Amino acid sequence: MIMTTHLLSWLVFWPLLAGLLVFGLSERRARHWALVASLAELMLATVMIADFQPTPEWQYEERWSWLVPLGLTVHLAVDGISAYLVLGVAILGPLAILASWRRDVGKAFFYWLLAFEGGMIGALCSLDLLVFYVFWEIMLLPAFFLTGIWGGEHRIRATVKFAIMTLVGSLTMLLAILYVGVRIHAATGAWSFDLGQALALSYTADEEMLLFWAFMAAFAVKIPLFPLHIWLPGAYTEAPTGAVLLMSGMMAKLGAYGMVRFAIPLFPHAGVGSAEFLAFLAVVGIVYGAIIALGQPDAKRLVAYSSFSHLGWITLGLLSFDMEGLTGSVYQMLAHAVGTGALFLIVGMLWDRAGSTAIEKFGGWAATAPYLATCLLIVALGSIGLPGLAGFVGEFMILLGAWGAWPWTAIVGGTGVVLGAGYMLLLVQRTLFGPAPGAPVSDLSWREALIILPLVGLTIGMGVYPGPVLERIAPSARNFLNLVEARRDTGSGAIPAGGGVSRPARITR
Amino acid sequence: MTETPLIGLIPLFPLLGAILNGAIALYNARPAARLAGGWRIPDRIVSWIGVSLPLLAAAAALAFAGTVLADSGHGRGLTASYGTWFSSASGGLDVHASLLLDELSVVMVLVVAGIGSLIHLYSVGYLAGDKGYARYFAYLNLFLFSMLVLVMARDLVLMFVGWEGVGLCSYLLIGFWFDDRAKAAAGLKAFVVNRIGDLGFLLGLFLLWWTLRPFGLQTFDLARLPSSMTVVSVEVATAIAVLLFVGATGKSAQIPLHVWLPDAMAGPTPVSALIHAATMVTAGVYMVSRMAFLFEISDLAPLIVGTVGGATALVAATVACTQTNIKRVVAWSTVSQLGYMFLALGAGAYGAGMFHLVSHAFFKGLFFLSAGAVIHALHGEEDLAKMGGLWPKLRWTAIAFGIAAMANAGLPPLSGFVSKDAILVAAWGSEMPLFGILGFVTALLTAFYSTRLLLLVFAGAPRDPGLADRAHEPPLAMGLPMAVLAAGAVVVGILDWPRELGGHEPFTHFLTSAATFGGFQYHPPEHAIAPVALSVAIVLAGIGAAWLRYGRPAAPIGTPWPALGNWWAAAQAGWGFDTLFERVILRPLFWLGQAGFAGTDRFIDRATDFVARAYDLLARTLRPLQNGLVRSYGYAMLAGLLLLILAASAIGRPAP
Amino acid sequence: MDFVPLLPLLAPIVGGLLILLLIPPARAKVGKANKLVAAFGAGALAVTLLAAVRHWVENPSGFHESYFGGAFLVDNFSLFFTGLAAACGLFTVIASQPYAAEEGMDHPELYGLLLFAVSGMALLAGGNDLIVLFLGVEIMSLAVYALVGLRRGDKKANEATLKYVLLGAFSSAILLYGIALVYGATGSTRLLEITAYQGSVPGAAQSLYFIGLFMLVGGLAFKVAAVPFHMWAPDVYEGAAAPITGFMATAVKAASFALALRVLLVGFSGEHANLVDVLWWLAVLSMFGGNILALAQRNLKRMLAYSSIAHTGYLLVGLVAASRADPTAATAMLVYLAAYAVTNLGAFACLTYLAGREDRGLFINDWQGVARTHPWIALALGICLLSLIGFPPTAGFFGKYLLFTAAIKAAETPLAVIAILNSILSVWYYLRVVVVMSMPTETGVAAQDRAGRWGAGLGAVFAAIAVLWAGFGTFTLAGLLPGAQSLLGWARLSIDTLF
Repeated sequence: MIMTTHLLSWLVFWPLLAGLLVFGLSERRARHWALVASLAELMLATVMIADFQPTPEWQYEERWSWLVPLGLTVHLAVDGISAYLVLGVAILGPLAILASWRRDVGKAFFYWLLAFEGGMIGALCSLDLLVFYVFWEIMLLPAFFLTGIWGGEHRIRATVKFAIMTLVGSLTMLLAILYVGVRIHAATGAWSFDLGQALALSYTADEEMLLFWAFMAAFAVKIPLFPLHIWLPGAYTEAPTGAVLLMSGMMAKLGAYGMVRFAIPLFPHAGVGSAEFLAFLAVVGIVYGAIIALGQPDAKRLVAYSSFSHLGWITLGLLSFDMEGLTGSVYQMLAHAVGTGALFLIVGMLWDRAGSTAIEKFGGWAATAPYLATCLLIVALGSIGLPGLAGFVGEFMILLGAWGAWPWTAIVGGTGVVLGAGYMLLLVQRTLFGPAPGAPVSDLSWREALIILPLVGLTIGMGVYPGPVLERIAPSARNFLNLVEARRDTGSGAIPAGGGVSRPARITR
Repeated sequence: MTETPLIGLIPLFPLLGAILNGAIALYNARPAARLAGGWRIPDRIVSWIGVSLPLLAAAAALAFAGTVLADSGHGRGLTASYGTWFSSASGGLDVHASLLLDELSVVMVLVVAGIGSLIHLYSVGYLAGDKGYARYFAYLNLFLFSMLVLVMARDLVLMFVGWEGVGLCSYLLIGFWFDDRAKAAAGLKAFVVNRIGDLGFLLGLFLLWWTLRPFGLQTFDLARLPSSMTVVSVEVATAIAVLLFVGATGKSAQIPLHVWLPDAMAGPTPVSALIHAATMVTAGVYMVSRMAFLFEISDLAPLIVGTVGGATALVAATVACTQTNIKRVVAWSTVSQLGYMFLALGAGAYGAGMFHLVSHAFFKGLFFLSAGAVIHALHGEEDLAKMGGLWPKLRWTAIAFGIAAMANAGLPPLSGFVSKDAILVAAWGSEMPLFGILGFVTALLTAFYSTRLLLLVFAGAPRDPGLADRAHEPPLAMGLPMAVLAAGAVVVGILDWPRELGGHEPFTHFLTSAATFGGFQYHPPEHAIAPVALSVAIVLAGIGAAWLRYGRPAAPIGTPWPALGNWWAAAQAGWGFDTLFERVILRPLFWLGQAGFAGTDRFIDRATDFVARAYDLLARTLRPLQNGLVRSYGYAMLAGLLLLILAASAIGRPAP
Repeated sequence: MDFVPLLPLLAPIVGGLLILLLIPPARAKVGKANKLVAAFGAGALAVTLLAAVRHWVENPSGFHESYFGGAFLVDNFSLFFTGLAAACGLFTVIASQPYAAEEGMDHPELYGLLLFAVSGMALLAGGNDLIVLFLGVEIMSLAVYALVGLRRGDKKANEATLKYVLLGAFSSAILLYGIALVYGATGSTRLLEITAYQGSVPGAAQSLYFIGLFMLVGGLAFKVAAVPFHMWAPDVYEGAAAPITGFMATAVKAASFALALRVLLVGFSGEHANLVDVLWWLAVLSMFGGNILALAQRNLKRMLAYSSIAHTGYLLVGLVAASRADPTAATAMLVYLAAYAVTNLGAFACLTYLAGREDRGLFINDWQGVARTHPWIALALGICLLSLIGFPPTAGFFGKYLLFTAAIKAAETPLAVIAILNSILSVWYYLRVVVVMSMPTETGVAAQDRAGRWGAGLGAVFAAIAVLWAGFGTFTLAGLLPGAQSLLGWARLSIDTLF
């Protein structure tokens, strides 16, 4: 049945196309349809995860040719690393729509949310460099319009900065992709941008460096790595809750994902060679972001900077080229999607109550809104990596791996643990504790509860029982390490099937 | 080791209580219930759940303790493994959810569950009618759970779960009355300072892991670690030990991370008694003893432990002498006593250290509870300047208070004397003379401030008659636990009666004869009567000094000897550690935060703008070339043509 | 002699002549009649298009018929460009309804001139002799000069016409001199014969030959508006009526590049390092010149003029690569021209739709809030602008993708890098329009109701859809024409007839 044979195609194109229907419907209907469509998407993703095997092979692989003379094939597949990120997108989707329920936004708003889902999932599933690039760019449009049209007061500046920085990066990547394509053509005589074929090539040291950094230009902006984070505070602060949920929750992770899937395996020498420098940037990001969050008077920007800081950990983990570090990093991508997503949602709720995100407008709300308070507390603790909640597992494994690579990164990056506790609990304290101000705020509405409770549940669940997810991530992580090892040993090298467990659990530097 | 899944019950009971009470708390918090007359689940039920489940845990602990005692000495204990919590891959990280109940942990479990239950009971009386009643018991049960996980964990990472869990509960409970900013802030401070320690702990784990990994021995399993210590070099062992000890200083309030404990007294008194005196703060001591096999590889590590402990003991004691808030005196004395324990560990006297932990749990718990009783009697008044002359009104409380104070002072034959004496003997016997000096000087101060406090509260005439008149003895729920603890504070000493006085120190033997410390055998110092005599003399001197100064009716609570006015003030301010943190760490951090946002980020932002501006500027400067005059267009074309020909034939282009 | 294959060339000529004959003597009666004239013009163009298609369909393998002793060819290449030109003309006719009437420029001449222009382009596409090509250039140019000046009341239009004519004459002169010198050197104006003679040009004539060649290039550079021969473009684009500008920016550019391709690939194929160098510099200058100056523009028409200069630059990148006798690059150019035509026609249709009297209100600030008041036009323009950026999945993206890949393949990587750099530069001024349109405040044209301009609206939406479809479906026209499933396929077939 087409549903199962082309599951990934459905996952990618369903939101993009089904979303178009909203333009034909009335405001209310459009909203409902968007919700239905995103729930269907979630269902598809669940089906996909449901019988995802804990093996390193590509799964649900499918390819159909797009433009034969150019050798463009839509080649979709997922492995343990991308599968859960897809699920993450699908989970955040409906929440993003629900979060924008009451706002008087046009139908287009909901289309862009769905398109955002489709774009990200497409980028996550593509194994054809050019198709990946296409989705990578498509992903930008929703973020651009959602922020640019429905954003806050200073949205134009923020949006333009975000768009331009992203495009500078991605167009640089395009150049590298074209170059790789030409190299494939030179080698095989046929046009193709397939990752598999690209992995069979080998380059001179200089070529590798240039190409690697051309790819990194795109990924480093998305993650973002210091000092390219400059678009982030603006964009995250101005974007409407629904959009920022997807941007911070998932879009940022795609930068890290791109490094694992493309930049490093394609150019292993350059990748491993530049790892320490990148790790340095990541650590700077961790500490810098945390310290700035500490001094933030604005709740939304505080969360934005905390998100920036956490992304540093994720990057650090995968740069450690270590089973623990990498697995933890991927797990942290999911945990952070849940954690930061929930935080932005709650900040949105605070905004609804105080009419502002300035922390000084909050205070003493635990007394009048105990449920909201409980959710905020749990989510905050989860994001600062309290054992037993989602954040801890990834954080622990990342720092463990990082120590193995460069102990100083674990030590300096570790301070983020302390600073994180500082700014997060400071936010909690100023929001919930202290004498309650004049007007008592209302507690969670049903809709709000519907949005936030799944994430709270995930925060606890992912912390208590990470096993099943980890055991599906691990084989692919191992596979990545083997691949990089293989390609460094012999300049070229196809994807080793099965990921020989015999290899060392980390890359010798 | 015998696999006994049932020991999981011990932490499970309190967890159940936490969940139930948590649910109740949330249910009672629903908007309908907050309206006048809205139905809420009555506190009675909360009390039953909150107290009975800890008691069940204590009972279970006792039951299993029997088994452990039975085959003690063979280094065997009970373990329970509930499978993997998280793991990276085969051969990689593999964190087990598994528990271990051996001689060392059984002692802790008994103390925690036992005293824990008593204090739950006490809270029923103390917190009666509080609007957050259910929430309070949910937190307290959760704490008990975390603490039991901490002491029973067989995997270091699992221990870390408890380690941070207790920190969380302490955070929640200190800030229990959250509508008071100061209290909430105290909780925050406690958590963050603890986190600094926790980071040390984590880094210690990482270093340990990567040290063992090359040999394929990497594990966090406490049952397997000791045997793999052979591959660890002395330097590395020192490094790991020190990192772990940083964790201990955070949790057990040792210099310089002790700053949070005095403020932690903002929480309800039973919390101070349970968490900040009897159990949580001793986690560091437990952890160091647990890792003795590592600490003892190195010579430097124990030295550091002992020195930090001794110094803390001394400094905290001086501060305790000067405080004017009843709870703060007790709090500082706690810090000081914890210092003693580390002093013992540093001297290699793990048995003595652990025993002081036990006896301290009794008399310091009692100390807090009776202090709480006094505060309760005075309707929340904590200032010594308003006390005094309470003896006639609160005889029972006074007796309990007295026992606690004297045990704390180390007056024979109370438990405090026995345990502290053992430490002093060890310190005396250790090759570090410094340990001895620190120990004995602190003993003097301890005796002094304990007596001072006792006298200031009960002796002489009331400083605030109005308050004193309304004083009343505590209700039964509070009295009973006090009585039990008092009894304990008196008799527990039997368990480890010193050889110098014809005892056999069974407790120390129980611990050390077993392979509890990972194969490390503790050799008690030679039989020595001198230190015992000296310590007794010192204690009496201290008591006497305090009596001379504060024995008189309505003695002023200020400095006893004007000569050391400034010193007194400095000590009263806790020797300025707080201001130091404030000035050296906090303010710079916040300043950096704002500077980073307004400075660095603004700069980078402008830099990116500048690129755009430059582009814009370039466009504007070139624009006039398009001047709309046909002739200039014509010239341009001609010139262009010629230039092209020249450029092409002369320059060529970048070679492809 | 079989005249049927000449239909694509003859149809516009005949059509144009008929229109001029049919003009009613008295102006008064014009009003009503014009609808008919417009319809007739559209019909003639449709015939041209269909004729071109038909020949193709009948000769899948590639078609090669030569006339006037090989001076004029009808082959896939010529059919491709004739069709493209006719399509652009047709689009323009439709898009200018009823805009032309409102602007008082819907004289029958409008359609007549359009047809003549197209016929000139057809001649360009098929010309195989420098003289014929020159004829084509002149026919096309003269018609376009007149089209620009059609809005007689408008000062800007008059000024533009004058500039265009003067400079055009100037460039024609250069072109003609070039042709003359080449003839002098090689003794022929037939491209194939020139190729043949090249080798045997006597040493003395060598310099003549090269100078002639460069002047030829200079003339071409003027037609395609390459820096520094571009300066007429902004003024003329601004002066001409929006739909006409669209026609110029697409059809004229396409035809001129057809000329360039044929001359360079057929006439001067072989070793011409210096020629390539010239093109290289032209490409770089045009890309930077266009993209940098576009930023300074406030008038959308001028902005699009500079953007079209920049696109000339990208196309020249292709030409450089193509000059290495590499069909990939030439093919890419054809695809790019088609994609660019669709995109730009759409963009100008949007401008036409909202333009005020005499094309006022085309300043960027007049467009605030258009997204709210005219969502479909805003959407269409947005799509077209994204296509101009080269944003996937649009026609423009595939055009750029093919060109740059070809450049890298032809070992012109530095040029590709410069091209990407320029795409980055261009992002800013294209996006700015999108941002302005989506602003909440409504100014200028946004407030006006233009529902009447059905032609422009229809054209805009059609073009936008085409752009997207071209992006998603990558130009697929499943089996509509034998021998090729996609535009890419046709382009390839057309180019093959040159080699």
